[in-house]
Amino acid sequence: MKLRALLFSFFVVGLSASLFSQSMSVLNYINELGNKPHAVYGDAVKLIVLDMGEKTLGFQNDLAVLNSKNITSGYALDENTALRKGVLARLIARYLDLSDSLFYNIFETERYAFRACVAAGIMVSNGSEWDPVSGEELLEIMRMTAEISGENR
Amino acid sequence: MKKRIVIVIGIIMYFCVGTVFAADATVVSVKGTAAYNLSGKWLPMEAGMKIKEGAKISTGVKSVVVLRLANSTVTVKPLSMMKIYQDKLVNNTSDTKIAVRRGGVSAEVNRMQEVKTVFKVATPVATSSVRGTVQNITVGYNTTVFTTPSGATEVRNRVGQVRVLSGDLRFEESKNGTGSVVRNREFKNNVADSNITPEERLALEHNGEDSPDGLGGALDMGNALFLKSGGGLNLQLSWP
Repeated sequence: MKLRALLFSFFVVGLSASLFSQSMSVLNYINELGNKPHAVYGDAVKLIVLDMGEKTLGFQNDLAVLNSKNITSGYALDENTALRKGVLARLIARYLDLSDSLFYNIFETERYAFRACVAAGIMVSNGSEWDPVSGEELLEIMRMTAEISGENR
Repeated sequence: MKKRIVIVIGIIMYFCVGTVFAADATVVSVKGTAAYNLSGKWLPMEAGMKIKEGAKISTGVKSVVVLRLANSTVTVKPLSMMKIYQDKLVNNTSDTKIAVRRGGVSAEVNRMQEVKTVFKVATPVATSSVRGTVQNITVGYNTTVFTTPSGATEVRNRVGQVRVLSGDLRFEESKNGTGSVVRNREFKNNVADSNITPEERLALEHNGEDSPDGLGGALDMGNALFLKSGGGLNLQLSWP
């Protein structure tokens, strides 16, 4: 009986520690992302999964989560592909289901997804869908995205 | 005798210098994941901890930290990073300086008559001095925004321009140094022929300026109306 209680307590402590270490590894990743000069496709996928409240278990698993919700459908990009504003805007527009933009609703292209994100206050208008995204900029965009996704729930 | 003299001098010096306390910040609550960094390594943050001066604080996705400083409460919003530069109680003066690197914080400063309160927030593009009571600061990639829902705040940018914010005013400072004070409320301008149908008016209000480049924007419509009316224009202004 005592041995069982001891084993159970070790199990609980070990589980808590591993969950805690995963949270800290995510936070370390976010802090390092803020210093990256260029974000990549895998960063966007990961942050959207985190915003959804899901656990991030590697790029392929994260991609499967977003594919199941048609957020990344049509994209066959490598994890380390440099992230452009157009790609990010389209992922976010699908994730948030931005429907206020007439031309995005009709064409659903990266160009109009970018405009829809600008109209929603998620991105700024200086620049275009072809611009690269830095790590810090990606964090700011995801922060704005989180505010809207939090309001929608 | 010499010992007594040294002790007396020491006591006199102690009271002359005054009582200085470096007040540790207290973590009131942590929602989600947060960490602090004091010696080069990020460590998990929990409610009830004491955080020393010089510590950086970082929050994760959907995570919020509430800190209790010397005479104020700071709420660190998700995906944010800030640093506590100074948090002191010197006699009857509370002196707190924090810096926000990215993200947003909300600072609520307690104003007490017997305590002189100095609360400054530094960002990469501007510094604000809270005169009480509540201030919101958001540091973005392109723009830093200061608002003061309650009380007043003095904001100084890198070129020395000073603005005092209160009420519904918002100060935006961009990376290239152009700062402006705007009102939080937005006013929308629509230009349209007065003979449009209710459905067309509803579509215009809904879609606004959402049209391809170079086609039928507000300026084009305004020009068309001006020419059509032979140089005159009736203007109706509707304020929200």
